[in-house]
Amino acid sequence: MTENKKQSREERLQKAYQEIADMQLGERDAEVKLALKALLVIRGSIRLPETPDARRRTLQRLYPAIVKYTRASEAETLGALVNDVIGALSPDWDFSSHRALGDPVRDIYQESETAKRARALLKEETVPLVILVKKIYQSLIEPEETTEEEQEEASHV
Amino acid sequence: MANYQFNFGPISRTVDASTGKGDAINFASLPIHEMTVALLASENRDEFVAWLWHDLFKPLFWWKLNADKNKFDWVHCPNNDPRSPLNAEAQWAAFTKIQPGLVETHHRKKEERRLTHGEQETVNNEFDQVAIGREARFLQLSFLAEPATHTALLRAVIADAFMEVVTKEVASSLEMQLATESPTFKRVRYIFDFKQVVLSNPPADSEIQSLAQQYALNSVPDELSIKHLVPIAQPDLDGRHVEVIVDLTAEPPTDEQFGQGIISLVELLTVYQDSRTILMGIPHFLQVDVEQLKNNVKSAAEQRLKSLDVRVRASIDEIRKQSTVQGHVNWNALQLRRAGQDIDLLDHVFAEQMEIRLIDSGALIQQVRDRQEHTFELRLLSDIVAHPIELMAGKPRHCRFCGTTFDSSFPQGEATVGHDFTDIEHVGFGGDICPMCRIYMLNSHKSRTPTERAQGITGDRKAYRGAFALMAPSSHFTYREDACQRLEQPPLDVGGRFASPLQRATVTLQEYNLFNMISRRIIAGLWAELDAGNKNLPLPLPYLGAILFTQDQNEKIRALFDRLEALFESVELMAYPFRVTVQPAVELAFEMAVNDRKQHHTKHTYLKTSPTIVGVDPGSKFTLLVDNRLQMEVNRQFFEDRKKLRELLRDIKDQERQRYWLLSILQGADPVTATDEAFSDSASLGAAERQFWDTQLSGLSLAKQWQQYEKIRDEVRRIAATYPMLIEFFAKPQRR
Repeated sequence: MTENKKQSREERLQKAYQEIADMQLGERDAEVKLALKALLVIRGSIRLPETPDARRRTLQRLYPAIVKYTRASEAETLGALVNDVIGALSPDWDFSSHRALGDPVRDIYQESETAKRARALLKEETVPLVILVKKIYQSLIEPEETTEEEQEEASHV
Repeated sequence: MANYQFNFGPISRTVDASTGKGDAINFASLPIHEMTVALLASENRDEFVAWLWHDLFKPLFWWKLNADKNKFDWVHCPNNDPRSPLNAEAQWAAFTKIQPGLVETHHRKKEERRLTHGEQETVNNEFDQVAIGREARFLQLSFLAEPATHTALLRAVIADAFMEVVTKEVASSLEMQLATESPTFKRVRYIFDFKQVVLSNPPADSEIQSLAQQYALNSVPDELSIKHLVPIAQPDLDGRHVEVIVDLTAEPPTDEQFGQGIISLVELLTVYQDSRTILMGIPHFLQVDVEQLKNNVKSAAEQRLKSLDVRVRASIDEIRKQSTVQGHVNWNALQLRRAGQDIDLLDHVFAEQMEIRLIDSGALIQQVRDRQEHTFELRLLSDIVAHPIELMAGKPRHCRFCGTTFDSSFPQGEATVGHDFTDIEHVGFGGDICPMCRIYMLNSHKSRTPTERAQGITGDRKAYRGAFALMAPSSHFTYREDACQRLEQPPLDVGGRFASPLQRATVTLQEYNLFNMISRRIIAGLWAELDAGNKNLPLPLPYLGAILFTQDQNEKIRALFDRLEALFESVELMAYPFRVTVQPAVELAFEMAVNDRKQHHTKHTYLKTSPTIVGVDPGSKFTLLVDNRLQMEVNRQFFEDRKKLRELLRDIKDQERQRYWLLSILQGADPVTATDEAFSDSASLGAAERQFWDTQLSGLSLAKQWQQYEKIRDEVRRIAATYPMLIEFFAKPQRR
């Protein structure tokens, strides 16, 4: 966690893409990786508010909203789906501008059989993929999210 | 490791290859052998007591090679030869107050034998022929009816009544015999102590004598105990102790008694049992009046049916309504069996679809020739078991409900099934109806009589419709010769009887006893698991050894279903010096209501399913009817899959949410999405994450979590594809 803090958010995102690329994800390895990267692009584009209460409230809505818009998108390509979801999220969320992600996510926007399968997977198994990407994000990029989420849950008990 | 393990003591018989019948073992233990012969071969008290310990020294497993005859001799007879290490006959004959010589001569030829009947004429010695002793006596109950679920209840109650009456009569006659001389007893306790020994090579007579002297007969109030020492070579068998207690009263057995090693009298008397016939052995000294016996059986069955709320008497109007008779019938001239103003349908069943017969000593014997053209007499069990089918052959009428051929004093006609009989497709439009099925028809849910109403008995009749469970022992057992393991060569096997594996096994009357006992214990175990209080409570049909539940006990039927997984366990029998995997059998008729609660008893579910014989074995399977509409094959995998789903549902406590989860799964959703949908009202991913992901996949790396998720998803998909009606096996939440 200490090391994470020293790195910029962009650096951590880059590291997360690399982590995904290095994962062994079973029989559907390629499309799962691509779907996870697509979701990470979506999640990475959202910046949480600064105040703790607002952050917690946002967190509570963010991941279900990603699921909702991913399922709702009628985009025919994976890249278009990512854009759809980001576009759908944009009225409500503050977007984090960061430098171009470059090579690690290039394959999301390229038309390929893997990208087609990744898009289909993302539409069919949205919930497990979003949960996994949330865990990746909270593990590698913003560990404090986990604590904030726990506090939010505790406040509802 | 087998899930069921039974041990009734060491084996008691083998077949020597020199007989020309092959080298083989019998699985029945010494107590079963000695008790069976005592019950079936003795003419009086002294002979009965002599047979109880006639093979006293068999557990020494002292075998010699008889070179002259090229055969093995099992040296075991207590004798009066001062030079023999087994010189104990006089001592124990005096103790048990029997004539000396009865035991010593039990293997000799008839003219030298001092017992009236020999062993081979009692339990038979014609291995592989599945014959029963030609001099033994039996009572046989036969049903002239094809097995069907809607008559299973009636047949089971009658069978239980038959076994109860016979057992009580035998117990009573035994008590009278045993009361004539002391020591008197109601129980016989067979004790086997396994002790590691190191003997000289060859063993000295003094060593054998020292072992034999540790054998003892003892008497305490109401009990005769016979203590055996089993010398063994392997240290891991040392110190084993087996006790088998035979209860000679007619007390109905319980699971607790089985756990204490008690064998009940009804088990020893039951030779063969299936849905068509029951064959029970009886002592020579039992006086039998078949007609009286039949009346007693009917009376006991009638009482039981009444307590189950099953009607067996109908008014003449109801009988007339049961069938449309072609042409004019003078009902008053018919030989109908009456009970007051009513027609006694049970009496018709007893007269027209049932038979109790005495198979007396020497009856039903056939001359048979073996391969060497030797002629000998046999009483084949298969012929006796086929008797019900023979009785039905040539009967002129045919029942539209159960397919049975029958004859009856009821007029021949077209059965009218009545306006409340909705499932006409199961019985067709036309045809006759047998007395047993008339009882089924009579017990409609709307069949409360004016008398019952006057007595304040109201509400629908639910005893003979709807959910139903009957589980009874069946004699259709098997065993696996390839799974027969010799534990060791006994140390006193000087001749080398057990030097080779001896994996072949044959069956005699006493093996039928043995397998019946095993089936009964498995069923009683299930019964005891249903309720803590059941352990020392006899089964619903205790003499038949059966569990019986009807619609009013649907919750118990469901609880029983959850435990039927026990039928897919492996069963191991320890019979020193062997251990063998066996497949005892049970007969199962089963239908349960899961979600169809209110109207279930109005449906003819009994007509949509058939009784089945299930071998207790991991590879078994059976078909089950649920809620009157789902019929599916149930096997070990089904229970494992259901367990898997329950494990996945572990953290979804609410029944309604569980049902949503299952619906989502069956519609093709993955288990995480299904969890999210089950909690759709919360509009958060939290439930899917906490109630599924974190509980099922935690503790793994992120990549492994995904791999594990995919594994579970594939497993769930397979289960949903295999059991598309799986949701019927989970409770539907009640309306709040």
